[in-house]
Amino acid sequence: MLRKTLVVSGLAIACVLTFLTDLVTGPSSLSAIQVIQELFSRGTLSVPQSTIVWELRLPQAAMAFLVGASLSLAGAEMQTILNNPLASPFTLGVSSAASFGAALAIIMGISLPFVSGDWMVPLNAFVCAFGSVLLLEMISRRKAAGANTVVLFGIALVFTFNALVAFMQFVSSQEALQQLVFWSMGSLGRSTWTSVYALVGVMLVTLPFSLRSANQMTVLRMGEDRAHSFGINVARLRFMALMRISLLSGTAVAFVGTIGFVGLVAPHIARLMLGEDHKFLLPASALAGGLVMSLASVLSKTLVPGVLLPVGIVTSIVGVPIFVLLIFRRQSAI
Amino acid sequence: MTDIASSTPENSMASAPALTIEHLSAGYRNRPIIKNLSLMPMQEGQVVSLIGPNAAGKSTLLRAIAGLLPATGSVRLGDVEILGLPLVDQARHITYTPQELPQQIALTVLETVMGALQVSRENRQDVDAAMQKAIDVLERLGISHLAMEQLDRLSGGQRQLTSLAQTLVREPKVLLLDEPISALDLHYQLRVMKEVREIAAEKRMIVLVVLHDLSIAARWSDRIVVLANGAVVAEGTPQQAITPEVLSDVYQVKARVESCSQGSFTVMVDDVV
Repeated sequence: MLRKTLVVSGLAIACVLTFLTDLVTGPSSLSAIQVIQELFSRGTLSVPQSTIVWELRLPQAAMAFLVGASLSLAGAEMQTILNNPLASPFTLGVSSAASFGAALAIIMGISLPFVSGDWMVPLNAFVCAFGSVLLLEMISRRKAAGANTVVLFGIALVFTFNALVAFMQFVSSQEALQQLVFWSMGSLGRSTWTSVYALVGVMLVTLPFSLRSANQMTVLRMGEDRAHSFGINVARLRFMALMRISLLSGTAVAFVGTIGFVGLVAPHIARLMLGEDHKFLLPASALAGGLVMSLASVLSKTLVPGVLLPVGIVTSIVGVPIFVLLIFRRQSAI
Repeated sequence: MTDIASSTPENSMASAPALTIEHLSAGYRNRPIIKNLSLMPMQEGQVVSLIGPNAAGKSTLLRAIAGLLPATGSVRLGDVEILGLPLVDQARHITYTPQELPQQIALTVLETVMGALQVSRENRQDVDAAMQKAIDVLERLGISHLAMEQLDRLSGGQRQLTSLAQTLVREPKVLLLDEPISALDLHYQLRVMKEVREIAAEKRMIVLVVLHDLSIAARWSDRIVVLANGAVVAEGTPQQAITPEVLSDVYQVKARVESCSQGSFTVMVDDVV
């Protein structure tokens, strides 16, 4: 108990430190001290430098943490309710659906009515991502559908949306194609305060519900019959979790594009460190996801000097070593 | 109090609620398994064993009683009709324990057992009390030394004991155990049956347990129900229910039922029929 609280606190501290590092790194020649001074009293820097800190660095760093945390929390809940270690927003088609939505807007110019240019892509991505989770929900609500049916259906969704996107790419113009490819690599460059507020809002709405059902999720890991027999309404638990997942992952991918790795691996990192008592696993997953994304954001700015790499690419490069290390450490412990 | 319960001759405690199962049918879509099954009422503190060949419908019966399968008919605890109650209320009365816990879970034994308590709203707050209860049960089953072990590092038998501890800690009125000793060594087979009997008597539980070992079933149960093809073939005291004729009928084996030198009831199987 104490050890677990310490591990979660350690994760939180690591998140804060990485977030600060993320804030003070970047292509412009601002020193760390300057940035931190500016944060404490706005206006100590010149106007353009102040703008860099407040309108670029801060929302991007916040977005990195928030996107990682949302995708990872969504992944952790998905892995539990679908009883599958490979479940994540990326592997079950939510990200593919978002790409499909983005492609509709970028290539075909199709969007919801009364939506202006800037909002077309994220809104389309959100609507499609949300829709894909609703489809998963419908499947999971069918009486006979077990967790495997849902996972298989999710995989079918991945292939369907990928094929549709590929088809649109095939018929698209050079320019639109480039835009779409960039979108689907996942980038924090599009972060604004609006997107930060949107994700903070979604987190504030979903996290309390996640934590409230933590005990039930822990028991669900021991099998559906057992959970039922202990008085858990498994269908309802699964439905509510899928609702949270759709909000979290839909909003996250809408603003930053496809980021595949975090939602799958960060929950595993948390699980390897803390086990599966969901009271600890769920918050730790969110923190681990935020940490991985923040690290990725730092590296995306520093890996190749002078070049800002798409964060989606870097995420895997950062996450894989951590993950492999944990797996091997665990195996040697057994 | 139900008529049936108060009319049973052995019923010394007139106010104790009995578990009554009448005209129960259950199964899967297009595949009925239990057909119109009724059992003699089970009294508080009793251990009733359910025996029968593979695919006789033993697990299906337990799952139907626990409300895990769509079922028709009546399952009453005292005057309360259990079938069709909301899950949470049903879980207060009845707990079903599947044969095994899944293997790949990163939880400790203690967390697993405590989780079973904390999932109910009324127990959620008091962590210390839950831990004390969990440790008590682990001690009774002789696995308190495993409390901090991860489930995925346990043997099959140790996991089975954990699974049983998880159910016992909830102290349900009706305990349904699906082959609780199938993976256990001799010591723990006896220990589990002994503890289950004692706990049933102490906490006034009704225990319905699926067993494969007939000698163990005979030794530790008040009553035996022999099930085949979803129907009751024989029911009564071990001596009444387990006879060479029934065994030949149900299991297609040639068997003797004898008293050993210590006087306990033993089933010896000589050949298949």
